[in-house]
Amino acid sequence: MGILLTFFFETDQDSGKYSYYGIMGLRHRGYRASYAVLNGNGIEIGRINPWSEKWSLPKGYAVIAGIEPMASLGLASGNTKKVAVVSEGLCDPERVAKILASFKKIDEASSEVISKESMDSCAFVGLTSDGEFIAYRGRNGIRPLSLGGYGFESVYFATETAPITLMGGEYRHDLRPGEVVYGSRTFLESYVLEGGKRTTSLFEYIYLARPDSYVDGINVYLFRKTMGAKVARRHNSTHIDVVVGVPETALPYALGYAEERNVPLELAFVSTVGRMRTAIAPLSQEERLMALSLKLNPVPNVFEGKSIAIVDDSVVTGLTLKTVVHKLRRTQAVKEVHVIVSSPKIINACPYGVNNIDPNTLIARVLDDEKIKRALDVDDLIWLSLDDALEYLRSFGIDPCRRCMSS
Amino acid sequence: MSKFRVLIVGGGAREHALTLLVSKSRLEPRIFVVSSNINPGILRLCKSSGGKYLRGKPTNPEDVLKAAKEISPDLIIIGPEEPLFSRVTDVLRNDGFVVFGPSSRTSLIEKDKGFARNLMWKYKIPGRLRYKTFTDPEEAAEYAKASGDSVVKPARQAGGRGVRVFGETAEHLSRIAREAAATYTKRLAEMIMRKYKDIESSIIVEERVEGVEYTLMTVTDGNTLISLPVVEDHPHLYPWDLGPETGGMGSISGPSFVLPFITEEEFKESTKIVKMTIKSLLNELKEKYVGAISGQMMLTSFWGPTLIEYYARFGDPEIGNLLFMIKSDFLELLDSAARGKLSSYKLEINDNIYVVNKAIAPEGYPLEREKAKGHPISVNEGEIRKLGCEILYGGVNLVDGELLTTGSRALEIVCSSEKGFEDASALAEKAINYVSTYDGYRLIHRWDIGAHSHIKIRLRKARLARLAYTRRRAKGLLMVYDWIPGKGLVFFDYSSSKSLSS
Repeated sequence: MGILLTFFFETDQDSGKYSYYGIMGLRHRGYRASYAVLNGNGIEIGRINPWSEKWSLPKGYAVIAGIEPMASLGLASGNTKKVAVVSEGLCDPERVAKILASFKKIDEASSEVISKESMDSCAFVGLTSDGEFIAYRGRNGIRPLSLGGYGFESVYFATETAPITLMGGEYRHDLRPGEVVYGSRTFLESYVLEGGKRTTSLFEYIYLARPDSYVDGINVYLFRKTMGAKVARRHNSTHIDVVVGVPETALPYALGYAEERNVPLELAFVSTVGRMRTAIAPLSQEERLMALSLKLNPVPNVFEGKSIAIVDDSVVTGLTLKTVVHKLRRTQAVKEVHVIVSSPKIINACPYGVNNIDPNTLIARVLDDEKIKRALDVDDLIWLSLDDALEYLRSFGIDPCRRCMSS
Repeated sequence: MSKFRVLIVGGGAREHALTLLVSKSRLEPRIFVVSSNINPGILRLCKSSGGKYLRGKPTNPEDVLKAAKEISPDLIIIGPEEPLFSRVTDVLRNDGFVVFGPSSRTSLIEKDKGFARNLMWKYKIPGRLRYKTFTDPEEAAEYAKASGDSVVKPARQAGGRGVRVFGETAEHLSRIAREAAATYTKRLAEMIMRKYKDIESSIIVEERVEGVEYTLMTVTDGNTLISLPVVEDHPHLYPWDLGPETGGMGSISGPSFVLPFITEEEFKESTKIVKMTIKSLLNELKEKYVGAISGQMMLTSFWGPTLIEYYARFGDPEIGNLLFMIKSDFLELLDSAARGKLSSYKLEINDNIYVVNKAIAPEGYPLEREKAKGHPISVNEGEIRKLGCEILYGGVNLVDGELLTTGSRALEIVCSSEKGFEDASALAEKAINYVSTYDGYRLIHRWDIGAHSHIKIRLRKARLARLAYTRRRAKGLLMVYDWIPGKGLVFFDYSSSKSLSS
């Protein structure tokens, strides 16, 4: 998941060069990206691995891209034009592209597409060979989409705001649920369908987005720090000597937790493979364990005889946490390990395709807390209460989607 | 019937606003206009005041002089900038006419951006930016590439077109931005040299600054200078401040002389910048500046009030806002300035009023103007007036009873409210529903001008700039330092009287 649209008003500008950084700003979401580029020759499509050493986009003044497999690209030809669409959530990009290509005018085409109920749990961006762009956020708002601009040069859309700022842009607006924006170098129009609900994915805030982003108006870093503090308030009777965050996503939570409990935060691990996101990397079980081990080389002789709170952002399969605890136990002779999870239990796969986890690998679904504690070899296991997360987001007008966290 | 005759040169939205402002005078003037297009709004005011609409080229001194001789006006008001550059004011004054508008020499402050910048450095006027001018396209391109984070403009006023900002908001983008700047600079320089033969430099490259923009329009007789209420223009074509640069898609002003995001002190400082400029012009050219001079200002983190560029005229769309803001006699204001008697004039404005002006343009403006030309427009004036709004006709021409677009902003709708910008903006939106094209061609405007979200962003940006420039001032800093490893401590001294040593 994660989608992007860049559109430059001067056709001699090379959007591909800017979009490169936009895709880099989304690559924490996955290991393949498909794209379409609009230039004088029409639409060119392709696929890249944004983690690979050398890649670039063809020259063109507009680009759409999406992180696979949850976002995907579709292409269609009508009588007069070609249309490329990148969508995520519950819709088929090729079908969207087909409808858009069958109308002469984009305003008529867009109203035909977005009026369908099947589009409610979808977000998409599109380009037409006539030089027009379109972006839509479905009525239930599951998938967020933000809008920004770079001077007088371009307009940018992205799932979160870090790609916008990485492309030199300024973040301006979050599309409202049911809002469509379309235009070209000569016009831009937008409107909002009735009946929208701001049920933005909670998983975006918990795990997916970068901490230097806003998602649907929420500062992700502050969300995570606040959740860390909230879980600390419910876990303040146990003695803790030191707090450790599981790299990388969990660090803001660990900061919030340590600050609230007034306990020092220590760095426990150093990565040899950079900021690789092992949970979503396309690896076999064995490769994943190898990668984790390389990512989590322990800092020696810091935790001997201490009671540690390990703060993690979320526990999906439990593999990362198992590795962390195991390494600490083996190398440092820690006294107690308390695991603080800054998310509610994830017990279902996402019905909207935000993640595609096999439910049978979800540790919180298969095992109860006592068994998890035994499996992970920890003294304590605390989860963020769903109500804490809801209370915070609702104060900003978001009633997030939490289908993967409730039965 | 009144004896006072006024001749207005030009037939755009600015001149329509001038005509309306002047027509409210207690002198009940007969209004004459000379213009090459037929502006229906101006035409009506000419007729109802007992004046006349004359066809002629505003930039042609002979055409205008002929009109003036025919009418013998008590006052001539020059609307646009090009007639100033083509010596229309000079020719009229030579013939003994009383003219509101600067001479061709003093209007260099707008025409020649290098001249204006040099004046600011020479006389150490606050709010000056680093710049360099070029004649040779190659040399300009090379410099734009080397300097980075810059603004490239035609050195000559070119209808507000051709300005491109090459922002390096992040270092990893600098190579892309610099290459784009170099390519563009070369192309622009060649285009300017082909199009204009009346100026030496073709390109000016300036340092890029960030902040909140506003326009300060003033009227001067060369000694006294009167500031009009601050207006904020909206140069982006699209809502959310997105899209290509335009001449202005609308403007807001009120509730008094200042906007919510500009302080009284910043208003005074901005006025001081324009005053110093007028004085320096007198020093430099030994000639008084008579007419309107407007500062396109920005509140920046370095200077606070900073001058982006000068207009030797009233701003458009900015002047539209004055329709609801000026209480005292506007014709007397311009007449006193033209006669060197401004010191006795007392400007009164309507306090506690919020004014929103929205421009309506045919699709295609400004990047594909050919597409935007020749579309018949329908305006239900009666319904718009019922809402208490004013209509200003701009890029339209009355041809055989049909109102056709010329490719630029076609008209402006100005509405006011005592309740706030949102309310005035909502009125304007209602009014805009009464404007359409007969051929179904798309018209564009910005719904977000005057929106609360918009003001909030400005307030935040202004607050950040204010924190930064007041801190800088408290430390008395007029130097910018930079540490370049291997090269050492480099600095740029803004207190020197030269922009760049080269």
